[in-house]
Parts: sequence; structure tokens; C-alpha cells
Amino acid sequence: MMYKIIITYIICLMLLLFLFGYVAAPILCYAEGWKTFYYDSYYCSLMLSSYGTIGTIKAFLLQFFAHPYHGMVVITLLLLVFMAAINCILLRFMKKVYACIMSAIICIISAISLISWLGNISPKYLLGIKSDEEKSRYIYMRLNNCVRHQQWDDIITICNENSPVNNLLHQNCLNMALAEKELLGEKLLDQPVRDINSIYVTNIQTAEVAGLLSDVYFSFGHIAQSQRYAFETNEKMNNLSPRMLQRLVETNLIYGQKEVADKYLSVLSKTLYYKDWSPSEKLIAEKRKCLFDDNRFSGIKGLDDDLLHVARNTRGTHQCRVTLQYLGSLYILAGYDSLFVKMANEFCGSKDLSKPMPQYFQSYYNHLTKKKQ
Amino acid sequence: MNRKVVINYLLLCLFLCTTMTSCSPKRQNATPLKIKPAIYPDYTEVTMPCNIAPPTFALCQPSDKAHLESLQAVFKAGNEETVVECDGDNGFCISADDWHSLTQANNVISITIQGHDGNKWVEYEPFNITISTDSIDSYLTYRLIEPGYEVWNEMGIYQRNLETYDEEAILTNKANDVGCMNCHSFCNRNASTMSLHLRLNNGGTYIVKEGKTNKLSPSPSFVYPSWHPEGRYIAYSQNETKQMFHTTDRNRIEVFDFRSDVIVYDTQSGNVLTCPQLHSPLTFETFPSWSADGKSLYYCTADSVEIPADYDKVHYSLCRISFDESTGKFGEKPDTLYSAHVLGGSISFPRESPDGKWVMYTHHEYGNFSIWHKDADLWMQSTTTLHPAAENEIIKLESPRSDSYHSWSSTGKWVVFSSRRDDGLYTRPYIMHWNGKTFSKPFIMPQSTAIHDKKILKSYNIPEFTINAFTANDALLNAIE
Repeated sequence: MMYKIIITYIICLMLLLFLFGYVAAPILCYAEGWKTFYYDSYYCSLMLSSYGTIGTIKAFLLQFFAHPYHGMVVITLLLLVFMAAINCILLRFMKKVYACIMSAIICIISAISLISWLGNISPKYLLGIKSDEEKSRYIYMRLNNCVRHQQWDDIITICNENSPVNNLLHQNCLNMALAEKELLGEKLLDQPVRDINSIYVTNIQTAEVAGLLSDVYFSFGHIAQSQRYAFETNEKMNNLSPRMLQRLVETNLIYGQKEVADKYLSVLSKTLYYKDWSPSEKLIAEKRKCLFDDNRFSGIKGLDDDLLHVARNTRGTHQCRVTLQYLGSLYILAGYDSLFVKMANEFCGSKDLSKPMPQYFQSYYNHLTKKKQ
Repeated sequence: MNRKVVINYLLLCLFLCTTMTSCSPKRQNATPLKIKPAIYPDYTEVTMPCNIAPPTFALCQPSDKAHLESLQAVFKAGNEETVVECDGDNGFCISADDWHSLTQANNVISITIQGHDGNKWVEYEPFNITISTDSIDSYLTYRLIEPGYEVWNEMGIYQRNLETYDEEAILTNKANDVGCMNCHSFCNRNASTMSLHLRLNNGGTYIVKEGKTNKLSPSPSFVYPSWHPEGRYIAYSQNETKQMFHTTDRNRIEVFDFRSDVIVYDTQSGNVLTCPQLHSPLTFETFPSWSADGKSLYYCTADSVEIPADYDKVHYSLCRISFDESTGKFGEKPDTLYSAHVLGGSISFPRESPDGKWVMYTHHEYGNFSIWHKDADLWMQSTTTLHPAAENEIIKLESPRSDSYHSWSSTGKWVVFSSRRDDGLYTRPYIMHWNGKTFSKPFIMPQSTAIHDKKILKSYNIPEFTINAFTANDALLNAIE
């Protein structure tokens, strides 16, 4: 009798670990980026007024997914306690084994409901009934988590597994990863592309997309725009998004606005997982080189001209090579032929752009020069 | 038995009284550190009104030295002395009763911060807070909003009782489906007569008067309101505004007008009044503001240039034009009080003092949206000079960061202004005393804890004094919904 109960608990534990560690981790880690719990009376009251009591409980549970394994263990343990409690109640009405099995079933159903509620995803998806939209959203969450943690190789792997990459947001993540790996010019057209929206979406419909744009601009080396989208996304998230607060710390430090950065750090210091976080000094120093010597309004001469400025400012660095990957790709996708040739002539053969150029840059360049002749 | 119980109770009470007395903090014999304390917010050597809520502050301990423990602040005024222990990040939070006892005991309150360095008690040099007998208007109204770019989320117009820490929403944008709201303005600092503007959902200009709310129809885009002191007219400007974002400039955002004109709205007839000087296609006119007697209207004007290309070549001068309230007519020739052509710079937000002797304005290098200009400072000059002011005729209140929107209290003894001197981004209301000759050191509006303004991620926008509380919330809500 006893071993049956133990086996039931073990099976339940394995199922929960599988659910939270494999299926739900990307969903919940993604959700955690927008919402976490703040151990401070002021922010608690702000959370209560913004999210309500239920939303605040959600933020409390989500906070553990700042580290996927912590989240998996904490929620699994909570559900096992819940299962044991249900088991005790059911013992009054049925035999031990049945009570145990029944409580395990209730526990698994609760786990699925919990994931669905925490991650704003349909329970059908978790049960394997996947619409294209949900599947695409799930992939996006995985990709976005990788963007957050700069796991560029993982992004490329996920996209290869889910080829062809037709979704624009997926394309944004993939092209960011390729640019960061200095491979965008080599692989730009290996997956479908539409236009410049494949590099950065221009139709911002949600705060989450604005958050992605903050990442894209940060990767471009366009700090002003990255800061803008991080600020606006955080504002839409009631100023409580940990990942946007982190980005705001970074961008303000890049601009030398330490007191503003300290303000955001003091907010993060009230969390469990970010209280000791500080940005990499190397990253701040590298990105600081992206700032324009002469001030101008963002995009007043076109984003491409801003990026050209960033590339010129950062010659000989990884950032320059990344920005050139973007710039060449944007020129190709937008059909700015003369500007592409001008950029190639300026940078090709330098440390920042190899000679011959990456596959698609070189073939486009050859095509244009032949056309001219 | 009963007797025993009574005795036991008495003993318990005696024990509790003794314990509580022995627990209340006392001034310690401490070794002087011979340095002034750094505190946040900075209330050292400031002048505060007699009726304001107690200031709360925390010691900023130097990171390179061992932190003092058991911090306490000794408040002393005349024979009154109160010792307040530090409540962690909340700082030294003196009770209202203790504070008022001190303010009544003497007009100078001396504060000494003491702490234990592990071996002995030490103390910083005392600092003073001077209490002025000039009281301040009881309420301050402001908009709470993120210092953001183009999108917004939650915002609201709030009124704060300056005598306590109570803050109450006049209107939040939950009432208009997270639309935008701005430009609240009161007639003679009387909260029962207010104008405000909503954008997007249920957008338009609303006027609250005698408990009733009217929406101007059709819904014009009237901004920067100023009520005529008699309550009949409201001056507005009509601006075609756009903003762009700097890539490197420390000012972050630039807001500029492609076109702007000043008009006066007659709340009795519903007519709109203007004149060529206020409505010229060749110049930008903005920031109208009535004189205290209502006989003239201040405004800022600049030659129109190509926007955005020459955004930093726009320089607003300060002008004043006479106005006849009985006929609704403007004078022929405006006075120029500050000529940007002569002295350079640009002027925003002129505000005449209630006694009509002074006009305070925001001075910055160029343009008109001073809150994003780190060089923006408050300047003031006499209203009686009939020629454009010379450099030496201007009182300049300078700070390294943006000081912008400002308003006078009804007595003309206090000025509140929005400032980014705290962290460079989030605007806070600062208050300073005017004794007729000089301004005292500005202090941040007291909050219930020292850490409050560090935590809040919103700006205090357009601080306006009122002598009473706004109570027509329902009428306003009904008109909007």
C-alpha cells in the first residue's frame, strides 16, 4: 500500500518537474521579465493598486523564475504541499490509494492552471492542443528569454529547429543573434525576410514589442532609442519591470547619469533576485563609445545615418562589426543601393568588414557594381 | 483577591511606565565630529513656514567610513527638546505634535544628529531650520506623471495638504480610459474655480466653477491657462507642438512649437479674444499669464524659425500688453520686459507676484520647454522698469539642474517650483521663502518619510498653490464620463 503512495508522489513530482522545468520555464521566465515582487511597503502598495491582490500574488510566484531552476523547485514544492493537503482531505472520503491518486490528478490539473494563469497562455497549449498562434508565441518567449540573457547560439538553434522563420518577431530575435555573432551578412537571406521589419519591427502594438525594440536598439548601439523604448515599456508595466529597469540602469550609466541609474538600482534592490545586480562595467564602457560626438535628433537623417555614425565612432570594436552587419542588411532590405556601396567602400577591407565581404553583402555589392557598368 | 489584582495591575503599569521612559531616546554626551551632516532631503539652513508638515530626513553616511549606529536627531528650540530615533530608510520622522511644540517655542530649530561609532557616541555639528511666521497656502496641486517620451500609462492630478502629508486625487486618468490630462489652473488660488485640459478620450478643456463643470465646445486645444483675477477670462495658448529625442545631448528630449498663439476665452460670452500682437503668423506667442491686478497680460514671444532645423535658435522675449477688462480690448503697444535679442537666452512661464512688484520666469538657453533643459533657472525682475531689463536688474536663482514651472503663494511670501536638482530626471516640488529682498534656500516639499521621493518614479508636474481643497470631484467626473 505504502509503496503505491510513494510511487504516486514520485510520479507526480517528476511530472511537475517536467512541466515547470521544461514546458513552462520559458513561459514563466518570460513573464518574470515584466513582473516581479518587491519587498517594500511602498512598492507593495503600488503593486496592489496596479495589479490587484491576485496580480500581486502572481508577481510573488513569478519572482522565483528569475532563475528557472529556483522557480521549478519552489513551485513544485508548493504544489506537493498542496497535494498532501488535498490528500489529507480526501482520506476522509475514500481509501488511501484512491485519495493519493485523486490528489495527484488535482495537483497536475492545478499545475497546468497555474502555468496558464502565471504565463498568460491557454491551458490547451500545455495539453498539446497548439494553435499556430500559440506555438509562435511560445517560440517567441523562448527566443526572447535568450535575447535577455544574450544566448545568441541558442536563438540560432531554436530558429533552425523551427525553420522557416516567418514570424517578424522571431526574425528580429534571429537577426539580432546573427548580428551579434557577426554572421548577419552571411546568413541574412537563409531564412525568410520581409523588409526592414525583419530587423526591427516598426509597428509597435504592445509594450512587450517595445521592450524587444529596446533590445534591438541596444544591439544596434543606438543608446538613446534603446533608453526611450525601455523607459516607455517600463512605464506601461507600472515602472516595475525588472528587465526594463536593468536596461534603464545600463543606458543611464552609459550617459553618465549615475543618480538616475542609482534610483533604478534602488528599486531593484528591493527584489530577491536583483538586489545585488550591477551592470558589467565592460559593457558600459563599450556601449559608451556608441554615443554621438555631435548631438542630433534620433533618426532625423534616417536610422541608417545614425547607425553609420555609431559604426564610425566604434571602429575596431565588436560593436562596429555588429552595427555594420545591421547597416548593410538594412540597406539591402530597404533597397538603398548607393548607400550600401558607399558603406562597403568605406569599411570593406578594414578590421570591421572583411574582404571579401560576407556572402550576401558581397553578392549584392557585385550585382550593384555590375549593374552600374 | 480584588485588592491583589489591583496591586498587580498597578505594579504592571509602573513597570511599563518605567520601561517606556527608560526606552525613550535621550540626548547623549557625544564627541563632536566637527563636520556638518549630509542629509537627504537637504533641510539644512532652510526657512520653513510655521504651518507646514514636519520635515523628515535621513543621514547620508559616507560609504568610505564605518557607519554610525543607533542614530538619533536632537531637535531643540528654546527650552523645548525632542530626540527622535532614526527609523531605517524612513529617516528621522518627528511627530506633528513635537514639531509644532518646537515651532511655537522658538523661530530657530537646531538639529543635532548623534550616533554610536562602536566605541562612543559622536555627533555632527548642528544645523538650523528657521521657522517663518509667514504661513503657506494649505494645498499644493500637481500632476503626477512619468518624465516620459511619447506614451504614458497612469497619471493624475493630486492635491496635497501641506499642513499634513495627506495627498488626494482630484482626477486620475482612469476617468478617461488612461487618456492624458494637463494644464490645471486655478483662479486666484481658489480650488473651487479650475480649468484643466484632457487629451484623447473625452478630450477638451473643462472649466469647474461654483461646483459645476463645463466643457468648452467645440473642443479646442487650449493649453497653458491663466485665470484673470476677476474670474471672467482665461488666457490660453494654442500650440502646435512636437517632440524629438536627442541622441547625445544631456537634455534628452526636445519639445518645440511649429506654431503658437495666445488667446483669451471669455467664460461669460464664450467668445475668444485676441489681438495681432498675440496672434501673429510671423512670431510664436505662448505662456500667457495675467498680472495680479488683471490690467495686463504677460506672454513670451519669439521670431518664428524653421522647426525642427533651427530649434536651438528660438529665443523667447518676455512682453506685457495692457488689457481692459470692461471692454475686453488689448492695448496697442506691448512692453518688452526681457529682450532675448539683447540679453540672449529664452523665457518661459512668467508669473507676477501677488503684490505686483515682481515677475518671476524661467530662463534657459533656447526654446520653450524648459523642464528638459538642464540650464533652466528661475530669474526675477521688477515689473516697474519700463525698458527691457539690464543684466544687473535681474535676480538670478541658479542651480546646476532644471528649475522650471513655478507659482507664488497667495501672500507672495512663498514660491513653489518644479526642479530636477534631486537626480536630474524626476521633478520634485521645491519651496522657498521671499522676504521682499532675497530668497531663502529652497527645500523639497516634506513627505512622511525621507525615502518617499527616492522611491516614487513619477514627476511632480505644474505645482500650484491653492488656499482651499478642491471638492468638486464628482461634478468633474460626471462631466468627463
